[in-house]
Amino acid sequence: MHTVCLPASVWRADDRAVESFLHSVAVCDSAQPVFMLADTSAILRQAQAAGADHEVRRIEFADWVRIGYTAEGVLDVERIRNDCAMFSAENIVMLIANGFESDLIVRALHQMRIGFFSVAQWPKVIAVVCDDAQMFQVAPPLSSAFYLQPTVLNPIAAKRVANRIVKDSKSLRLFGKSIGVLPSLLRRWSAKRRVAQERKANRGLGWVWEE
Amino acid sequence: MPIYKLTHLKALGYTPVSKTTAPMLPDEIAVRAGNGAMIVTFRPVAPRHRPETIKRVNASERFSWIKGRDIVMYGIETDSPLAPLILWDVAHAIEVGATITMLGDASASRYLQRDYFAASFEAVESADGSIVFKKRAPLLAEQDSGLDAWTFGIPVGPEDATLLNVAVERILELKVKKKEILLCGRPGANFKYFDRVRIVGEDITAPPVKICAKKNRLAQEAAHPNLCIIHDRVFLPENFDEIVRRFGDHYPLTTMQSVYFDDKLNMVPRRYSDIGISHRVRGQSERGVMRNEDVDRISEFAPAVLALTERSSFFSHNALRYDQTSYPTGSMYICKKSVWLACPQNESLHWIEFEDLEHAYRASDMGIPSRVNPYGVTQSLVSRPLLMRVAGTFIENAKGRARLSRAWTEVLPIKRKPAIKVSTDKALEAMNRFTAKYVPAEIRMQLPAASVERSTHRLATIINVLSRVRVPMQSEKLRAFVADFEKWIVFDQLPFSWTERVVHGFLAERADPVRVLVMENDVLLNHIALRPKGAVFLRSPVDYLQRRSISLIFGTMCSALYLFRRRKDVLYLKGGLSFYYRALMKSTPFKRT
Repeated sequence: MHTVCLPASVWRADDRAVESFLHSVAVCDSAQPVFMLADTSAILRQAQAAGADHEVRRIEFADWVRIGYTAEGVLDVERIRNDCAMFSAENIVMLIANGFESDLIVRALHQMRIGFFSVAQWPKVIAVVCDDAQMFQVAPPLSSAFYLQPTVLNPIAAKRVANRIVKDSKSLRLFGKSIGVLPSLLRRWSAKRRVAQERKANRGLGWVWEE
Repeated sequence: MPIYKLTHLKALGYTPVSKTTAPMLPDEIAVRAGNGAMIVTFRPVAPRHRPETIKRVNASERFSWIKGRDIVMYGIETDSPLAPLILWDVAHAIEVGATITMLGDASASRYLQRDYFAASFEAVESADGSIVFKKRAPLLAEQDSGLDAWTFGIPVGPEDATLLNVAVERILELKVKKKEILLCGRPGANFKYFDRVRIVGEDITAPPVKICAKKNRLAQEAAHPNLCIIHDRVFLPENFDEIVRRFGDHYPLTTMQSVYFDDKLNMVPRRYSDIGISHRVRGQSERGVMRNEDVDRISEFAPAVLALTERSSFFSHNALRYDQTSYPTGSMYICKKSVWLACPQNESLHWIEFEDLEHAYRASDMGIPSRVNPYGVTQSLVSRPLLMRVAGTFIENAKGRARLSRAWTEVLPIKRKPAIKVSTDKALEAMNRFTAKYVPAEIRMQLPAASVERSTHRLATIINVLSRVRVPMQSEKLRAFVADFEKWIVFDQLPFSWTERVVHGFLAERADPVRVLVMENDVLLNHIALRPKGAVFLRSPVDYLQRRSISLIFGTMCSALYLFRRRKDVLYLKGGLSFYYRALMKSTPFKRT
């Protein structure tokens, strides 16, 4: 299943072009799922390129939100999960989510992820239309919403993690379970202390406002 | 006839039965001894009746010496957890026509009323809490009397047969009058003894590994009354015949304790997968429907709840104790053929689905207890790291308290055997297969050969691979990913519940695969701790065999001393230090020239 993040401005200006663009995404190899953040020119370039082999199912994000309980609205989790189970395998699903807070959209993506979990056949494409200003907030969670995605570590970082585990295992071997786990507990405790100290310093500097 | 007053071994910590804690044996019962009855009780007996006291009674004893035409058991089931063992032995020892009178027990259902005894024992009198059972016919185990003829059965697969050759060679060497060797399944092409064994059950397909069907088939095909069903990793002791004769005939579901030496000098002993116990499983509330049963019969061993069943604690059981929730772990069963056929394994369960517990518990409910032969040990040729934690193994001591035990020699830098029974070539190939399946082509990398040679490199490679994977968040695919990680990267069994936690972590917590699959993976940590430098994978299966040397004799002595000193905590054998030494030497798999 491919995922696409679309700017609302293009959607408003030329929704047919957007649909056409999504059709061309749908024909890409599904074994190599792609995530893309579509800009206006890319959409317009592809506008005439593809046919309309797949049905486009539009979902109004507003249908997934119950307004009135809180200022930003409350997600209708049951509806989101039911809808996910009902999407047909060959469809293109377009979620029109402009005008809503990024946080709410991201939380809805999380619910969609759970909704799709037990579905054997996924739609061809999931496209999320959001406000232009939100693109860079919505795109990262969308890219990893339905897949475990690579987050390649550099070799040094991988070795550092490996060495730390080897050290833990050595102390486990030498001192047994009761004493052997002490070094890793101490390290975890010192890491927590360090994080707490940094937060305190940042609060002093005005970088953190909570609490 | 005398009055036998039994007393538990104090170290067991069983509820005491003394003058201050239990009523005396009533006089009217005691006087029956004068009328020819043999009275057996744990209750205090007035000295004027001159009782014969049998001290230090524990689960490693046989009670076949209790014989007679009229046996009175007073408060046995109430006073002793060992009652099933005592009643089993007595029921088999007495002749047809003899009676057992059960007195002084509060429970309504008696052990001798269980299914196994139903056809042979009849309750002829029942009044005021006393039941008289008369033996009408020989019991099933008696129909298979004698210890001369043995069938050794081994379920096998088509993989390399080097270690199977070692196990079969040992069976061929045993001084047993009549024996046959049955293999269920066709072994690998390098098996050397096709002409000395009978192969059965080739129609049983795998995967999944239908281990229960295989064991049942072995029992059905056995030509001799005594069955010894072992896994191909179990190396029997040289004096097997002597061990089983000392233990005696008419045994129930029996096993022997097992040891695995992690090193090349017999210096690092580990008790390894022989008899276990779980106190919680039977009472667990989560149950499911078994594959072959209806909804009205639910079980804690149904495949649907295995991940929950696994959360119950499992310990190695102490041979001095008996509990109705102890079970042989499936790698070795010594059993009479007719007894096995009366209570076969549940064929709807497959390997590692708690089939051993289900079988032992069902047998126990039927009246067939599980017990340990304390006159010898077996050795495991190989080990699964999952069952062999470097920090120690939870073993119940004589008091029944599970404690983490490990030999002090664990820390010594002695040359070790391979930790995982997979060759370096196959391991590298499997890791590459995993990479090809889950890492997108544009970021796929070639795995270095060192990743199967050195533990640090192995770990770094695994981290590197996992940081590059792409997997859809679909139940089926995510589970396949974890299963492939288990099979192709870890090469060890990962607990069902761990798999569920990982899948949940990915789904609900958006967890990072490196964190969940490596940093929070105890099994992998254990691999590294077992072999911090290397030698994780094997170069040749012969690496698991020992060489005869002076240092090995010294190592075995050290291990014998350690095990003897901790005989009530780790491994109990009925003998002294030299007995331990001989038991270890006689079960050591040596390299043959």
